[in-house]
Amino acid sequence: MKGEREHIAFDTLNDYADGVLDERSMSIVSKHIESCSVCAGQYSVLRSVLQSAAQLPRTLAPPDDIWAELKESLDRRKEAVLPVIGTGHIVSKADQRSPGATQKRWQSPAFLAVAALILVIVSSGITALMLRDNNAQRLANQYPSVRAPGSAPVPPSVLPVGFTMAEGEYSRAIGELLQAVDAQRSRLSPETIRTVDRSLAVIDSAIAEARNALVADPNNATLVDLLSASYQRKLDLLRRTSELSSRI
Amino acid sequence: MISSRYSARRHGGSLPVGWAVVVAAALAAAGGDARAQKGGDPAKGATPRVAIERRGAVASDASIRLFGAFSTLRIIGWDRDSLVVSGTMPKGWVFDGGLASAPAGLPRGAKFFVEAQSEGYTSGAMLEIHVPLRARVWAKSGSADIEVSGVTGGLDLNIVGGSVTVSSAPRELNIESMDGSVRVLAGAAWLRVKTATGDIDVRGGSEDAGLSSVSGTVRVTGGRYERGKFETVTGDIVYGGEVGYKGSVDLTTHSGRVELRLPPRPNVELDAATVTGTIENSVTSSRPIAGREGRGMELGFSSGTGDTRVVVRSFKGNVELKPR
Repeated sequence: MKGEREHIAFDTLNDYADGVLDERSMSIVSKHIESCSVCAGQYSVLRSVLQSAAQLPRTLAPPDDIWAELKESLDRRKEAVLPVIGTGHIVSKADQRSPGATQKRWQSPAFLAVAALILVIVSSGITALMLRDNNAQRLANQYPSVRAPGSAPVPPSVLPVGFTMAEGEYSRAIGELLQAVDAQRSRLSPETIRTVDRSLAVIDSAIAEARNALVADPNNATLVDLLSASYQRKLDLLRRTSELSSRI
Repeated sequence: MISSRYSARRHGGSLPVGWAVVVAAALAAAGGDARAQKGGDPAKGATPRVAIERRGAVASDASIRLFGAFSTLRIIGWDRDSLVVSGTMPKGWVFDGGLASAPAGLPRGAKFFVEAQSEGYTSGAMLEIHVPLRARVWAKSGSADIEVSGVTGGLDLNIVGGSVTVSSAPRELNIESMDGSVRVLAGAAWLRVKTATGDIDVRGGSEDAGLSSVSGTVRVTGGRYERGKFETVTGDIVYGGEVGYKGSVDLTTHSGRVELRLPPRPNVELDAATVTGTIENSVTSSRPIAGREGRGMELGFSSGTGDTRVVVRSFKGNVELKPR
């Protein structure tokens, strides 16, 4: 953590919002926030993200007939033919199993863990599907699809509802930081501005790509992680840029 | 009044800055110091520079802050409870600050700054600062080359361009840079490095490491990491460190190449996925499978005791597992 005369590090603010700092650090951050509008603003954004996440439904019962369709889809994926990198061979999953593995797999902790994971993923998928149906029109109006230059138009779709809310918070925080950065551009050197603008363009391009992919495949947790990481990089770069002119 | 000008630059209220140091700033005429001339602007001919020297006793864990227009800074930790700042700067520039007054005992803090009074110089102040081994040092500048050795306390270093090289192993190390490159040669118990375009090169290990860059390369080539999070947007990630027992390392990139160097028989639980890229495994017999909807690839395996965890996520960067 930085000293109380400096802005609180973003990671520390996250820990503060999560309540995982030790007592002394909590006290220091708390005092700082009381007297610093910048950190108080960032903390407010973090709190609202947590509050939004807390309001998401914990569970949602799927329709009775959806399991049959999902099971069929999962069974189809089990039979997929898989490429082997480097050798050019095509090997099926069944070819990779050892003879004894099939007999023991139902008793294997790893298999049970995978089964539990599949159950969680299926449950999450159902939840997302249902929520998406309920909120599709509202969200489509709120967040029109982003399309990378030169790419084909994406079919009308929406992001997962949980991420849509998080994206709203990211957008709001980014908007505030962009204002702060724009207000002090004249005090930054041309080289610094070029570096920042180039990096922002790189991040925006990554966000657009990942976002398009997530719109097309809204249940892909990897895409959610990657898109969140790119937003985080943008927030971080803007925060650091906003602090530059005050110290240099 | 120097102290009022100084506090106006800080965030928040002011801190009493006492003049407990011996100020021995000797003015040097142009041409008096060969090293000083090196920083002058050739277009202006021989640029006059002045020498800087300040020294005083401080607590062994003192917090020392230094910021402003310095272009080179060497921070050296030594086994003495004293502080010495020396160097040169263009004539007419201001070097100011001092030790924080202490109600009892040795001062626990010191702050200095360099203020440029004219444009057109290719380099600013060139400083060397000796600090107690366990001191915490905070330094910020625009474009600067910072070298650190011997400090085992804490370091918080911020630059826009230039470079940072840390060859000691501080307890806490935080480095932020825009296009400046960063080299950490001996690790840090707690380590954070962030750049925009600058490359990051870390060795020596860490209990808790977080390295991120937009387009710079993140390279971790040695040491043991208990918990690591290494991220880029377009920059490559090369990880060749060990993962501590029950430790975990996350490598995340949008389009950078990920190279994971593992020992021949790794004790690792690996979970790698790329949305549209490829995965190559030259370490174990496990083969990647097609990703969701036939795009990209995924690879997961548990090898040896599997008591460490490595997670790789990439959008379109290719992932390679290579033997260390």
